[in-house]
Amino acid sequence: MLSPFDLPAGILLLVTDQLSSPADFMLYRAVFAHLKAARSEKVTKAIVLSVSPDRARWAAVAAKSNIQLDQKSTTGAFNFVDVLSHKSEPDLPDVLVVVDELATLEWTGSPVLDITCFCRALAATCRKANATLLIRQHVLTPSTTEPILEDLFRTLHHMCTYHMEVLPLSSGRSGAVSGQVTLHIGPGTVRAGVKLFPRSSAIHYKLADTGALGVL
Amino acid sequence: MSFKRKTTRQTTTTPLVSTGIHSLDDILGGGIPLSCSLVLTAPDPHSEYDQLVLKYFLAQGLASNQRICVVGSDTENWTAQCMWLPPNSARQIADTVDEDTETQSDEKIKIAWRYEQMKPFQTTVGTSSSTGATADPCCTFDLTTRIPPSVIADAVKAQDLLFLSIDGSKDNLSTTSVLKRLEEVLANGKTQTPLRVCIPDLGSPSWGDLKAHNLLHFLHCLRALLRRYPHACACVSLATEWSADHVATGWYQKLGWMSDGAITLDAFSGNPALAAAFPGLHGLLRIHTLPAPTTLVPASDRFSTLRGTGTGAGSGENNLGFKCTRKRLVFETVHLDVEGGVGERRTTAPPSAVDVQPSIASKKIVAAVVEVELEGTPSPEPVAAPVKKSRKRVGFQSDRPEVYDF
Repeated sequence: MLSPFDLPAGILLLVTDQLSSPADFMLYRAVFAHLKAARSEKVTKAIVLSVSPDRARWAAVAAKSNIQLDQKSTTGAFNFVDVLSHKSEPDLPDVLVVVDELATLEWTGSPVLDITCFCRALAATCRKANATLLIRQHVLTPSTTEPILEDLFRTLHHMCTYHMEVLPLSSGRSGAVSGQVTLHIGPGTVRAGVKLFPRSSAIHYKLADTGALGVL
Repeated sequence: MSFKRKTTRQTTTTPLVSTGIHSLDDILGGGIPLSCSLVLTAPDPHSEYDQLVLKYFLAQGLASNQRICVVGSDTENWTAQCMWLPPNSARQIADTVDEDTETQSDEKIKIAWRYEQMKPFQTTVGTSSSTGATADPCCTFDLTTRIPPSVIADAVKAQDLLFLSIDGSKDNLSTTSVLKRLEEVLANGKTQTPLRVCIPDLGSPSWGDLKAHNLLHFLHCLRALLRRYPHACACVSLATEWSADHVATGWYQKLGWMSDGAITLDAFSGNPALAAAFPGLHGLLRIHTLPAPTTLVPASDRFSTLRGTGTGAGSGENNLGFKCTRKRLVFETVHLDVEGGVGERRTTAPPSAVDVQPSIASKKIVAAVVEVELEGTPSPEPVAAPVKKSRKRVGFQSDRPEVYDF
């Protein structure tokens, strides 16, 4: 899952990002690769639980990768769910569940405990169904440039199998490189041969309209 | 440094609306895309540049016969203070020959012959750079001209200009009721004409007692509303007390995540040192996020001339600032002065050339004498002058070129 990383299925992947290096492209990449790799549309599902109703953007970016999301939605292969209205439970194997913009829930006043309970319940459901769960969490970096580890992040980090960080370059903005991606193992995960990418050997990416280009 | 002028063209299908300021349109990648929200913050309590930008936004909407909804308290008086087109009503091209050149010296400066044909150094974009990619071409407004009351009256009569006041009760937050009424306006209006939502001074005392999460929730819901009704766009300016970064942890970043575009106009009014460091500017512009409604990369990255991010690999981004002249507000690139920049090369003096000679004959400067004494050891001779390094001897001997002595 998610080239060039050789992540297995059925994991809980926590993807953290910052405002100067948003990880939208990573979520799009995961979902589109999952949909493209489907052997049969009836079995494979991708469910996106988002707090921000940005379905039009998903459709526009998918079109650039030659995926018609409307068609996939009608066949049931792609499901876009607004978290604030209701939540959907995956009940089929080979499902990829993406949870986006959880931090928005916290910043707009929802109690951290409720969000944590929701994530735990979702993680347990996905684990029972052997589905892959991908959660995106924003990390704040005020002027000190050290990321603030909020309670929600700490909870998610404890639960995750792998932790992927999408970071800006430490040397500042560049025209050739948009940012860097690192992959760490979760605190409770046994090392299973997945190649990790610490910050010292992070992969650089450049954003283009079609996605993240050329891992430099 | 002069940059190539690019045509600002949006390849996506999202239509754009002009902000009324040519240089700000360029920074945004052509204008504000419909269905997007732009949040402006201005932490300086002595000035209101963010509200000035909002007035341009409103005036542009009126000049383009678009629909506008102004949300706030005392909105009629606020609208009456907006700027308008110059009195002769000809859309003058704002070229470089304006009040900026009045400050230059009248004497002809001697320029080397090879540079005489070059154009003057440009720090901003002119009116000709904006193309027809926007739904409305950007007008050139004059700050010395007030909007005629007849224009406002006609727009109100035609229901193209709506005023939404703030009302909140003990049980109902002002932000909640505003969102509800805004949705009614968006749902009932004509969808063929772009609608501009203009919210000056969000979070001011007239909005009641709001917390940080109330404001973030409002911005989040506003964005969701604009996505549902994509013929509209919004420009919001936060009240001064909500514009500083220390309001909450990572406040600017939270604003950036909650809106499509977020920029800060950091004026120098309260900081004389910065004003002295950048004499031609009134403040610096900080960009937190830019609109990208249907693409991964904001259009501004590719098309903005001022930001300079599209000019080949390896190029960084220009620093941006703004200044308010008598007639207009301009955003431009920031350049260091000659003395402080890389134009002046300074090399460190070699160690052997430390000058201890008195510069003025009448004064006698004596080099400091350092005496180091250790117990039990004879004191070393005081060093009166720095030790001169022995000259490097080259191993090459001119009479025997084949021999090298290393």
